[in-house]
Amino acid sequence: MNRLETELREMFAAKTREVPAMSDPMHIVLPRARRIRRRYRTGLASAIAVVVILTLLAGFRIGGHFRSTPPVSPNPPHDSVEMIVNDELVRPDGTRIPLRGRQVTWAARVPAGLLFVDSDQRLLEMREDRLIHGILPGEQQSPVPSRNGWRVVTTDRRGTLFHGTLSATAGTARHGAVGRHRAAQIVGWYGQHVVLRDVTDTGMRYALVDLSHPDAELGWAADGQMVLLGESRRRFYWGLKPSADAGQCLVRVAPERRFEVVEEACDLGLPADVAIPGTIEWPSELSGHQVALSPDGRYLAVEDGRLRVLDLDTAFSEPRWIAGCPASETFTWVARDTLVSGNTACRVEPSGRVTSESLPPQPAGARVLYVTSYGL
Amino acid sequence: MADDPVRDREFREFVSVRAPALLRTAYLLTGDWGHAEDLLQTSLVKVYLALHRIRDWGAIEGYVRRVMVNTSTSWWRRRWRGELPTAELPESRVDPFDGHAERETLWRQVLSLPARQRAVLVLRYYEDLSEVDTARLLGISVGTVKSQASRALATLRVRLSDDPSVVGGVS
Repeated sequence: MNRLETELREMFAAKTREVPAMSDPMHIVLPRARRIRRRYRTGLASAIAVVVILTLLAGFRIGGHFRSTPPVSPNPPHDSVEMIVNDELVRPDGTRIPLRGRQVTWAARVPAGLLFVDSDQRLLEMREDRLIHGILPGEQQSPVPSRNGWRVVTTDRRGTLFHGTLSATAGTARHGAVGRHRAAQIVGWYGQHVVLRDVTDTGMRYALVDLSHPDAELGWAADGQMVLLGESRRRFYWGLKPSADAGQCLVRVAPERRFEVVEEACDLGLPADVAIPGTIEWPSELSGHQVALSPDGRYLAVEDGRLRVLDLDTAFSEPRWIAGCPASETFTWVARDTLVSGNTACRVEPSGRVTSESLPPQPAGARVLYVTSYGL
Repeated sequence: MADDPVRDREFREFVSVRAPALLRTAYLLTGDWGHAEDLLQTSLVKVYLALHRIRDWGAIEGYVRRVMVNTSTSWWRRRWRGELPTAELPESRVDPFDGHAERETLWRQVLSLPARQRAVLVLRYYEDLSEVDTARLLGISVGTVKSQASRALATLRVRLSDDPSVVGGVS
């Protein structure tokens, strides 16, 4: 065996000597598999239903007795919409769980349970309808779960980053603190790293924080105008950057290469004035039409008088805008393929088809907060 | 799909025992622990949904590894070329006189290889599979395994000999 082969063996062994803590994969695998199975069966059933309906229609047409049929919505999105109304959690099936006077300002459904921030700005966890405990301080900004929902990062008032790994079996989360980054804002996860945004006199700058190396010095990379949106499904970051003709370009960015733009598309018809929820208010021009990335990074929703969804998997090869969701001033992604706009839940199927359903009306003046799910 | 409770239980037991080892392999295929977790979960979902088609239960680990390799290759194809994923920040300098630094350099070069070549190296030099077993797991011929491994090693030799942080070169 030559030296290179020996070095490869030693290097592979060294790189895998320490395995980071991992939750039981079955807690993700089973729900995902069941969801796929349910959709497969529903899709099959709806395909059969369509064939039956078309056959019946054809029969009626031949017989001269044509009657219109209601639109088929085989897989209504409402079954995944969870919300907090005043101080009650309202499950998709209508079950109401009191949160005992806690005013919730942020909430997320993850495989381990429900995460939420209360009026005391604590990040709390609830499992099986029972409050478990506080996990991390959530004092400065909304916590950010990882795409699979098993990790969460937040900051406290002094700018210290806190991160936790949720455990499916134990009721606690392991967590650690990472050096202070005052004024920095969490953009999102990138594998085992977290991307931070900071605002300077000349614009925005970004840094990649390795949570396993708390003392590592941050290398800030500045672009000024670029607004990063979040992690894609394929190991890079999505962002927006003003184009030469006063619109916006969609950019694909490599965080590990000092946030270098590796690809851009400027002819997608993105509005020039966009507002990214959760982004520090800079520059002032960024207060415009709402733009938001879905929790898994597959879709970009844009509201500019109408609500359109761009399938990012094909944005650079065959750009495809998906229409059909009702427009309103604000919308919220509640699942990887579902958003709530006004009082309607709207699900985008991988085929580009849209199914929507009205949500139950809430009492006038009620405080409604939609729960976004991660990893489900 | 796994509607059989016995198979379901066996699959759970298999995952609880073998997940750490599979995660290590996934890490070597992706170069990032977070993405490794995603790869492992995605692969387990695929295998779970196909459990009813698996006749030889003893070969299930091989199935999972095969799905992991194919999935990581497909992910690699869909992203742009030229990326060099690394756990280290680009501005962190390596000490050329440090063995650890050389290892990191080798790791970065391995990650820059095409996914299929990287998978062959991982299976041959981490999993210690023979050329025949590697070919069987990847569903390719032994000749292709040999040529992929040879091409990968040749690429590494060239790149490492060009890298000033590697002392003494490689053979």
